[in-house]
Amino acid sequence: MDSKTEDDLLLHWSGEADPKLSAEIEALLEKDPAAQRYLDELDQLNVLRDELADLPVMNSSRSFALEAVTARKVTRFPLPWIAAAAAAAVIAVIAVGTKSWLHEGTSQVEEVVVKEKESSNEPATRAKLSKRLFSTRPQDPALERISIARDRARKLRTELNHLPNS
Amino acid sequence: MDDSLLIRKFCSDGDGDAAVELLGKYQRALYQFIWQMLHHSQDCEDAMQETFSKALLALPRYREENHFKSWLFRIGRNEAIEIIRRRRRTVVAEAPEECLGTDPLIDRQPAAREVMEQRERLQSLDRAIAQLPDAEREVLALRLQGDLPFKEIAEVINIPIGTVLARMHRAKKRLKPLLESELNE
Repeated sequence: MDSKTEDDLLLHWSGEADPKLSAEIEALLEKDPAAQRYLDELDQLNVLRDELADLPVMNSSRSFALEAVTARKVTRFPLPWIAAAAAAAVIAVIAVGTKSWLHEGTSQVEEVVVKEKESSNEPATRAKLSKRLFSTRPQDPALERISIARDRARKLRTELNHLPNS
Repeated sequence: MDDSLLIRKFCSDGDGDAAVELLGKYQRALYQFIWQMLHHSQDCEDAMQETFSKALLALPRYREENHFKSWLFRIGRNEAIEIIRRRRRTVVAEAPEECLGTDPLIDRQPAAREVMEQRERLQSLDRAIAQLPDAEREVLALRLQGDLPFKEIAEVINIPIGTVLARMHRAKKRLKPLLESELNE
């Protein structure tokens, strides 16, 4: 029996032969005892496979799949914390910048802010205050620092959002 | 559930249960294949952990034109090869007691004696397969224990299918006397 026939028999045994090849092999098996013997030996490998099904003894309660998924969740855990820390840093930078600017500001602006605060029962939110400050003193160096800090914070947040698995 | 669906559920929805089900389907077969490569429990467990971790990490890049099972087995094979390389360990068979477990009551009970005989037989079969050359044992294990078709074995090992068939043929031929010798001992 040549190696081509052996290959064909292996494919037939494995169920990978196309219908044409299968038909040829079936015809060969009927007239060639050596081919039939070869196929019988291959079938013995299936018996061997069944016998080896219990080998090796593996701890049945252990799930590598579950362990891998759990481990992945654990490694992903710090990412939200990094994002939260970055957001906190952004807020801190803005707050420090605003405070610094207020201290540097003229008494006139401070008066306006105080007056507005007094005239309204609602406390001035950071957004409103920030908007007002930017509109009244666009050229102030402190405002520029705040603006730069905000841009950096925005870039940082964008980069964090583009991190894999975020 | 279908592999593709489980992969989608994991990648799109972050469904961890889908990933556990997907990997769990192939855990046993993969362990048996890696066992045939390493013959060492601790190494097998290390390889399994690494394989599944890497598979989860790479799953978003998985393409459906490949079969998931053969894709997973390829990662497992690479991991086993890496362990062999890293630890400079060729195939080292474990002590039979460690591999198959021991029972102090075995000699006292007839049923237990049968269990012992069965274990000894398994041990002999395993020893016979372990004596095959690495390349042939690998193909045999992927076909018998991994239950992979030859076409996918060729993908896993990255060799032509003709080479896979030739190795399988040689493994079969070599295994026959090895089995006879081990079982008659």
